[in-house]
Amino acid sequence: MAFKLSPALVKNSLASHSWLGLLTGALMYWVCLSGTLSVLYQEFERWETPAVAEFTEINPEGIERAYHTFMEDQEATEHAYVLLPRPGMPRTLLMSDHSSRTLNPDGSLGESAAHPWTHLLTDLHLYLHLPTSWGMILVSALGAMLCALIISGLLSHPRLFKDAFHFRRKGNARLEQTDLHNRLSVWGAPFHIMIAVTGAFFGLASLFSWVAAEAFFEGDTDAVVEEVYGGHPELEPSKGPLAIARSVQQTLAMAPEGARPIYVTIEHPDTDEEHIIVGTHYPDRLIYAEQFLFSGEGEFLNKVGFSDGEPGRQAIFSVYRLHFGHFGGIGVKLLYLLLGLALTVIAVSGINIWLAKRKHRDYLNNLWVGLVWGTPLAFALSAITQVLIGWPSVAIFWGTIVVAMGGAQWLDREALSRRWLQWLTVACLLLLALGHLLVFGAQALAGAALWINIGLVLVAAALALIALRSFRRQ
Amino acid sequence: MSWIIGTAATLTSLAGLGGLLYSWRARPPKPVALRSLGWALLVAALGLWLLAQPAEFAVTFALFVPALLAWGLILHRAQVRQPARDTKLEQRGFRWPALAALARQLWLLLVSVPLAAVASALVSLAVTDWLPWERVNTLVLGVLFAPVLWGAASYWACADPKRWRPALTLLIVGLLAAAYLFL
Repeated sequence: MAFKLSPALVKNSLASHSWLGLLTGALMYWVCLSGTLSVLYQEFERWETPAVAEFTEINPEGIERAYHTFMEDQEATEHAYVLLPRPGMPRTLLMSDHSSRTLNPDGSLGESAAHPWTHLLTDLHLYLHLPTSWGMILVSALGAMLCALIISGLLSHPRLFKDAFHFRRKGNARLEQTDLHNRLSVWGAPFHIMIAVTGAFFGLASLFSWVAAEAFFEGDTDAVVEEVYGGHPELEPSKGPLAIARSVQQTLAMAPEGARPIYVTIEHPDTDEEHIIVGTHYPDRLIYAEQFLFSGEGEFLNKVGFSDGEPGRQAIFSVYRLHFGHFGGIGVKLLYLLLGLALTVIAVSGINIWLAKRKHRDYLNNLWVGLVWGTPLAFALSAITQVLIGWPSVAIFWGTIVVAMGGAQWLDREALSRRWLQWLTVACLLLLALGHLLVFGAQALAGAALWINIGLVLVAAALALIALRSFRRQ
Repeated sequence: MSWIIGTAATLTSLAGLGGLLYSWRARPPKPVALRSLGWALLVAALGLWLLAQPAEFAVTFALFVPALLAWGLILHRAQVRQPARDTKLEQRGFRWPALAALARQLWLLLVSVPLAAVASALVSLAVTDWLPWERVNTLVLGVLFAPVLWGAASYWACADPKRWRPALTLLIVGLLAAAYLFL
């Protein structure tokens, strides 16, 4: 039986797809591009702070001693954390609600763990640099809009299967962009649906917990959180000293083979409610961690059940790794980089198709080119000013995009603006890699820093090739 | 060992995509058997991934890896055409949009974003509450199902030529779900 979409449905779906695409175009592009780069946020963090000592061993007694040293000069804090070495991040960090320090292999405290450029990148993806709560809701709404775009895109394509492998390159620009948009969209649909649903979750969870609290828990939002993420343990006031080492050792004994602790959370330090949570990474699961709960003196209380509890609890704690591709090693990160880049290209080509269909050009053509090609330039320039010079760079990031858009409007020739911005990005990327080498010396040529610097040079080379080809096509 | 099976799974997916490519591009009569074989090989690749990787990873690889393979096939057999000459497009200056058009866009925005969001959150919580599961499972299914429902509602709000129909339906369905949840 042949499956055929009615012409009216296709027409209405296409109208819906265009409207939703235009509504979300620029925001979707920023979220997709920053999300693609955020797959490597651990590597960017290590590249940004290459002087921090890296080691993978866990020494429970050393961690306990370091924790007490770290907490000596801390103000009162609701939570304190020890982030242990984990896949992709062979570092130990100690954090309170106010500050953070790295740990040296000899057990002494190292430098501050600040990595503001990586935060610039991840905050763009999570909040679009808006106030946290509103930004997260807006980004989550984009996840739902992506669902709408997937549905409308599939229903507006009458030759979905027949054209599934069809790509007309270099001819008519609109046909090329349309084929690119459709081919990347159709085959990447499973990934896009996953990204949309898991991405929407992060911000919708707060809206949902409020509705669920009113509906089922007499307005108690804490009760919703406890139902999903596990309840607060029954505690007696702590009698002995805080036993981090004992808790970690017990977790190692109880967890299945191959699992290892990746963080220790001390809830309500130095109060009667003080207790310890040891988060344990299961390498063959998508869950972020299983949590083992201990009293302050190190008595085992319970396990939350993210690994073997109710399916809903397992699913909700799998959202993070599934969304960011943090499972299965570097191969999965590369897979997510390619799939994320494809989604970014889809966001851009969708607007390109709409612009090309208009049969006229105006300021929108210029501003769009400035925005699209100004954003990679803004990432590179802000990395130079933040990582190499130490200037706070969020304003520089947005300023670069505004100047790029203004410059494109002033030049009033899309191809020329695009090439200028591409060459400027190439120059900034090369300057960034070279500057990193000059500032950090041998540390820039080791571990994750080396791979990021090689990546910067390769991306610069690819962009230069694109700019050269575009020049020859003129 | 797992990388050998993983490679076999990737090649099986590639063979499946090859089957689909030839069956979809062929002139009538279409080789239906080849198309079925293509889909079967893509499913078989999932079986191989399950042998090579933990179950959750295997499912993600079986769903995501074919995208890269398909794009590789598409690029390999792309028709490279002569670059088209740039046609001189009419140059327009800035124009203020008409007030009626702005009002229509605002209406679509209100229906497809806040109304669709609230209605889908309420409906997904109400519908999943009927399931005979533990509360944690219904809540999680609800929160993961809501964006899909919101997306479908937004699509409909923008696609329906009768603008009032999706708005009214979302309002009524949302109110019914709210009544079920809160009364």
